[in-house]
Amino acid sequence: MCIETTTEIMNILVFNCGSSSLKYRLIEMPSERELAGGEAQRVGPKTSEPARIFHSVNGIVEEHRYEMPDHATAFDCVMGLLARDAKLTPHGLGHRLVHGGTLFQSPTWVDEVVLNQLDEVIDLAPLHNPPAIRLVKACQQRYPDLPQILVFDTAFHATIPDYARQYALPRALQDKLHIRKYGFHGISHQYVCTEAAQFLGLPMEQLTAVSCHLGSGGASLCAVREGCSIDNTMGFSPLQGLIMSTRCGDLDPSITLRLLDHVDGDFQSVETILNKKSGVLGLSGFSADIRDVINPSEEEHHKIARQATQLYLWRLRKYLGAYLAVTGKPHAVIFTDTIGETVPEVRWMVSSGMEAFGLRIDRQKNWHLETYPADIAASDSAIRILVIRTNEELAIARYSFATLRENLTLV
Amino acid sequence: MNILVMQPRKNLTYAYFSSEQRTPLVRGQLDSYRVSVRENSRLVEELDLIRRRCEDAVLFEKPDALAIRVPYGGTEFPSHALVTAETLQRMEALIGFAPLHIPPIVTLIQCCQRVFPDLPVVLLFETAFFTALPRREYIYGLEANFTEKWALRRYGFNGLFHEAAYAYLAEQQTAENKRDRSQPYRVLSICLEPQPEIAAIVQNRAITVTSGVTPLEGLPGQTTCGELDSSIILTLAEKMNWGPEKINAVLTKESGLKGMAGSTIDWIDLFTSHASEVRQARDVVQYRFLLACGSSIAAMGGVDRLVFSGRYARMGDLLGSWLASRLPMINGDGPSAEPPWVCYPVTLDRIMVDKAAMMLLSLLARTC
Repeated sequence: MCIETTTEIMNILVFNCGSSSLKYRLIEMPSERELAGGEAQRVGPKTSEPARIFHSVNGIVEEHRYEMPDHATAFDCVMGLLARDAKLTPHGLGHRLVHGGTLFQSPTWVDEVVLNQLDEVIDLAPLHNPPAIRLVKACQQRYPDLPQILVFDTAFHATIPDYARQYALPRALQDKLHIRKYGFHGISHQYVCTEAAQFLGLPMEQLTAVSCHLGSGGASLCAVREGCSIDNTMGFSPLQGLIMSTRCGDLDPSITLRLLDHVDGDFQSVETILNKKSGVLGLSGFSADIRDVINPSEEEHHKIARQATQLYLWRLRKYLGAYLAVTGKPHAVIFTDTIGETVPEVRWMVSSGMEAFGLRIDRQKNWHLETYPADIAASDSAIRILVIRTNEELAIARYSFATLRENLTLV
Repeated sequence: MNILVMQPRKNLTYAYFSSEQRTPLVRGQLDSYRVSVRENSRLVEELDLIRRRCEDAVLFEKPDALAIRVPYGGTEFPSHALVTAETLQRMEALIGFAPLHIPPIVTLIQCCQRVFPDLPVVLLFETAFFTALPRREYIYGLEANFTEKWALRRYGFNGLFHEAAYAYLAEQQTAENKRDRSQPYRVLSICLEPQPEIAAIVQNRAITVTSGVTPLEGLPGQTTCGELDSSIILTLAEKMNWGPEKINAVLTKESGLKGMAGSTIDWIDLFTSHASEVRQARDVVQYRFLLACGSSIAAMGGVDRLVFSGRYARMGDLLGSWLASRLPMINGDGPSAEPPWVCYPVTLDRIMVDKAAMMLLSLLARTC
């Protein structure tokens, strides 16, 4: 591969590594055109259904079945599929990493030193970091000349000030175990804020906002002042904060201790309860998806669903109030990701009756949303309410491209 | 009316008031309370000494009533209660939910009945004010089998302060005829006790509170951690190999202001000291207060008044100006000569006397 010819136009292959899946998109930069994409499913030990890749080029989706015992094999298969068309040659890889700890606070070019440092952060996100880091190492081994950029979900939150980052625990203990608020969903929060700034005609470094990333799985709010994250509802781990699909969010510490006592100190089973069996699923008992719970199909679910919905919305509303208080009068409140983009009930219940903060939502605009980004605030609202589609893969491609170009120019 | 109030905690503090006077006639504490409560005869002797001190304080007059502070009443006690055989039975039914707190109080009540036969005993519950919290506020995002089995729900633990501070404001508003009565009255109530607590109160009903199943959740206290990511607890179990009891001891006794500042400090030190560790702790705590205020205001859809109560209520003047500069809605329609907050520095003893007197008078009125 000839690097000099690629500093103008580059195809960035973006990976988003799940515990048993590998999502990828090939994006031409700087045009931001998506050339190909897909998802490898059921990666890892064999399951009841075969492992497969749904590979899409120009909107045509093909299903391919492969044995994929690990993410490295899945990566080989994806590279094989792309190699069928010379125009789909990647010039750089961009990886999403959930947790960069204190070591990685900006997009990072992978070299020998970085590869070793990754071992220090591997345990910080036990579900997400290990497969992603193994994939990075496999890529490096197979294609040592292909540059790799790591983009971290925690990096945007490196600017959270100490007073918001610190827990009220003994200092020595916090230092010893690196206990602090790290914050998550940073790639998405930063992306939608950049889009919001552009929409409002402001430079990013002037934007003050509350960003609500409401996914069908995880969810968090981020307070942004002058383009920098100053707080996130997730904390040391993604468990803290809002009610999520299967995560409990905020909990009295004594409840966690009681659970720990109940299972004779088996912290892993408590972790499973709080991460996998709580939240919307735990409350409703029938679905982990808040959309099913807001509009339950079965009559028998109505009462329990209403209670779960109320708690979900109430927690969200309280955090919105908290972040409106700490940002002062922000330019915008931003709703994004699956729930934030597509469920008007949630936006309405959370933002109505918030005139004390200068926020007024327009019922019509909220319910009849046709294009993105959209402003659904009433015209007399002091704060804009924006609905913006997040695009974490594009954000990763942008950071990867910028990092590559910067470093290659230096060379 | 002469009322003797008791606050059983680690020790037992007592104060004897004539309801016409603001300061107590007698006050003191039983340091050995936790020991003597295990031995009825000893507690009876000590209570008898208190009885004699009270009787000596006012010539020819005896106490008319007794009021006892109870930290936890569960949903069983949505209001304060006069002790009867039935009340005692209901108290005993609570033992399973608060095995450390309730039994000594039951013993105390029984001993009081021996020393002060015929005297009405009023139980004032810190949790009563919060039994009316809306469901969306008091439930947690957990499976029903845990929340039901363990009766997990959020309470506040400084209900007596919040209730009294709200009543004071509402009375003041009515007297000054300042309020638009067609609108609900919304009060942001900040209780500055060793474990502080913020409640949002609309028309005398608490709709949010920062404490949880226990006072450990919410704002950091003098030695308690407040809100925490649950994963931190699991990390302590894994990396430090600590069991629940050890973790509990660290979170309740070594954390909060003490953990952050590195030494035992109270709220006066926190707001007045210039030491850099204390200043850092102050930044954390003030920020947490601001977050909780923002949440409460969002819950109420606005705010009409901010009030500080608790033994450090006077610190409200420092905290109040900091908060008001960040929460413009507290200032109402515009700048006014008066600060937009009120400090309600009445002691808990006094609040208990007033509450008990009011209850007994209304009972009397009903029986007449």
